[in-house]
Amino acid sequence: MTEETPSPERISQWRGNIPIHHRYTVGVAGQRFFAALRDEKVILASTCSGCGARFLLPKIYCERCFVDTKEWSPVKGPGYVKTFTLVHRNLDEEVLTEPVAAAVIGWEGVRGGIVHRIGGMDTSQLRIGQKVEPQWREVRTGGIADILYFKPVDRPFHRGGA
Amino acid sequence: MAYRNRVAVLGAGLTRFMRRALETPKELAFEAARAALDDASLEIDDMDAVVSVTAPDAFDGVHMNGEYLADGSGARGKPFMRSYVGGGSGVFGIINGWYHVASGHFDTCLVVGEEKMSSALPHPQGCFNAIYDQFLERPLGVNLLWIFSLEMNRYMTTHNVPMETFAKVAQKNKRNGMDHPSSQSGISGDYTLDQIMDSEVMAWPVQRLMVSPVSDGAGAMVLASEEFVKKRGLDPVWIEGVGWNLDTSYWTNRDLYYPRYVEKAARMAYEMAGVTEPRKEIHVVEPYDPFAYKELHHLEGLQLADKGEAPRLVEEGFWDRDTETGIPATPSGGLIGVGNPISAAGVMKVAEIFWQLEGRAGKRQVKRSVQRGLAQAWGDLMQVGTVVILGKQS
Repeated sequence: MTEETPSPERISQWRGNIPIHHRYTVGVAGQRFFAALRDEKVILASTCSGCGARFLLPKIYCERCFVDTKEWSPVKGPGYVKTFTLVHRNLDEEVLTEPVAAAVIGWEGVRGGIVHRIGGMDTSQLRIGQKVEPQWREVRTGGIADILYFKPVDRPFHRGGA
Repeated sequence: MAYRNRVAVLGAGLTRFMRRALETPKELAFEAARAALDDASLEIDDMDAVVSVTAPDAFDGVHMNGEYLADGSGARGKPFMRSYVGGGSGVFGIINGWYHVASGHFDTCLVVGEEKMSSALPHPQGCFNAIYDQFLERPLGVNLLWIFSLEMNRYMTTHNVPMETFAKVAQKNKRNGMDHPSSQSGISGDYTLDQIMDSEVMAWPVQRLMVSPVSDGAGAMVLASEEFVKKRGLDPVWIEGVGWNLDTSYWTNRDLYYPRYVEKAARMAYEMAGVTEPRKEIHVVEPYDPFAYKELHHLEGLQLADKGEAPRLVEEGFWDRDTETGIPATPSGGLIGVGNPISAAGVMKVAEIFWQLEGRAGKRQVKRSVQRGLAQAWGDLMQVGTVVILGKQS
């Protein structure tokens, strides 16, 4: 085994990348989900034609029953924080000036959930079980960032506990 | 070699092949897997295990693409395994599924092949660039067309094959593909030899109408043990032989005129199937045809023609769908006539043999009677052969 020397320029090397980038279609279910975010400011769940479960993110199939889904309907009422973290470094490991709160958000009666940022509050006070609702962007383009973040539904006495 | 289980094929399903699918890779996988289950009159709960095949992650642009595809492939909460040998993956997926059942560990296995090449921009060739040696070859801007054209030239020069013969293979497959419901828009058709030979030269001697397209699509098959089959009183098609072989990735150090790794894979499958005279005992064949010359190249590797003989047999109509004395090759239309979503295309080849043996190939049904057929795929750095032999005798 031979370690690289401390002077990388002395190492014979070829720098390359895989010369592509990607364009991802959001798919049949995604078309509908993101259009509803953009146009109606609603979060759609889909319902399995077999077991009747409602789930996020909506799919054209139920992964449990492996049959088509039917009936898409918006989730109702506030969501709640199922779990969260406070992120102190970004993707390149640079220190963030403010920690970013990221949470998994669920809704009663809906299987699954979505991950998003939490804002509009002192996140040092964030607890699992916090009830939240979307802060919508003014100009929406049909992507997950049409929601700026989830903000607390202002009932401080409900904080804490699941 | 002793196996715990004989393995039967109970169903197959394909999506339509497309240049650009709206569906996500998961959605493509679901549509094919659901169709295969419907074809077998089974449900996901009947499946003990799931095998996924998909080519480089870079096409779909999703790392851990197998895991990403798992729920769309019906694998939620099941034993799941992805296998990958480049272009050989589709047929290798069936081999992997066979393993799952033959081992005695599972009674059933769902095999799902998916590819979404349209996600990669500006062109999926960029993904192929990164399969080559990063010091000796990638700095030259090499892509798949280079390697194919170098191989084709070696093959055609060694055997003195005129371009018209390759054009006839493309013509046959594009005509056959007209009868395939999965055929990609604009790929199949009744082309004249002049149209094919006058098509754009992409990397001489490879021309546009003798190359398979870039495609999105998925294919799936349902495999089951003899015990499972007996319980249901079925009379299915069986997997009689499987074979695979990997040559060195120093492709420059081999004589490209002949795919010896395909020969080794074929001999392995023939031995398992008890086939001693393949030209008599194989009645229909789906050789991998990403390029027109590859069909002939592979037919020779499969021992269905002597070296240099496959082109001559083209002139006799030996490989045509309506042959009565020859061996129909690529009755589906193949990659040139249906499309080439890589892993799905390999599954499509095995599915075609399955439907041919069941007499369910519709307008594509070959004229001669068929009890045994072979599907083959090829890939990695021109180095892997994968072979599956299916048979109707119980």
